[in-house]
Amino acid sequence: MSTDTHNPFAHSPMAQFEIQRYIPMEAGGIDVSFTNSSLFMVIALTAITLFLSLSMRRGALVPSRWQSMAELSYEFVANMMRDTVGVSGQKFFPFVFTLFMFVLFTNMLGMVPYAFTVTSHIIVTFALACVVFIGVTVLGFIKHGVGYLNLFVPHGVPKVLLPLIVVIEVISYLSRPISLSVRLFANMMAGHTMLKVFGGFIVMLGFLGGWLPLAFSVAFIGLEILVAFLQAYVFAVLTCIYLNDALHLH
Amino acid sequence: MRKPPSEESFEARLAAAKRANAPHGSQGGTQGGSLGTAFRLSADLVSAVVAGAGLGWGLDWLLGTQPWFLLLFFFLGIAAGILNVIRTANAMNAAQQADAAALQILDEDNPGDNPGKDNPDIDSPGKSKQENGLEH
Repeated sequence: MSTDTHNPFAHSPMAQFEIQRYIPMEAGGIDVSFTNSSLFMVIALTAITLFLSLSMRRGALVPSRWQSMAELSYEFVANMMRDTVGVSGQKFFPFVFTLFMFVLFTNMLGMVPYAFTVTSHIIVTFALACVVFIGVTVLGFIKHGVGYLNLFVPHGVPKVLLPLIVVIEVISYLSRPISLSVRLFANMMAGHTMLKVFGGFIVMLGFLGGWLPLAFSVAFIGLEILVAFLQAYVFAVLTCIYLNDALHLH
Repeated sequence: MRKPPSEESFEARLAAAKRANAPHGSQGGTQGGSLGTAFRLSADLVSAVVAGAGLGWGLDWLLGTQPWFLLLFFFLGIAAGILNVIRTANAMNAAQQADAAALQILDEDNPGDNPGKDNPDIDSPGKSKQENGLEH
């Protein structure tokens, strides 16, 4: 149905997710090239570092605009942690804050035209989720020893049902990194594909009919910015919930 | 006046700050929030099925009992997914109720703050009764 055939990717809504190797590299048979994904991760990290260090450079008692933004992001994550993990979770604040800022900045950078959305690749989100999952599991075993396995044994279950329930609980536990990563990845990829498809409709329908998809696109970009923030929030909140489970065994 | 004016104004400001902070937790009402909720529940369900099937496939691969563990763990995965969804939904309900309760407490704590513009969501008879109880 494509009107242009000279470049098959010109209108493909999936072309934006393609990985391009900028600096091809190989280490021990593994492709470790510096790609557009790596580039945007570096940009996100640089942006976060610049944002936080430049805005807090003055450290004024009456904050400037930039300083209040930095303080706002600190307070947002700190409040979230206090609500979900409690006081004992405060020492994990740097980890959760880093995670939240990284996901938020990569999501938001993806909203810039021509930018690459790092979090639209499941391998990236799955790696992040695995860091959370393995870290939380190790933390639970350090904190409670073998008693952490009690997490899989709910209270008041008849002995006959116990083998079944334990298996179900283990599967439920193992599903955490999958649901954590799939949620972020699916949201970002679906949203960006939709944006591209409606962008294609505007071009196809031209000056006469393109106004309706244009209006829809504008509204949808607003929704996508909300989703970008919301998914970073959800990722951080779920990390906190898992931390809470590991710290305070029920 | 029940309190000295300076304290009253501080209380009012505190309550206003609390009220401004409160909506952070209760995004369930907005459209993006419900979209997030839907995504969260479906991801919880699907991921457990995937985890169960993956575990069964891995056991089959280890033990050479081709379809049986995959079949068994697929259904166990569905059970785990439903368990996940129920837990998430329960947590969401609890959070929503806690938020509603917190908002109500904030409004009751602060009767002096713009008395004409009370929240219509909260039924006034019960509220005024409780206020009277506090005054006497």
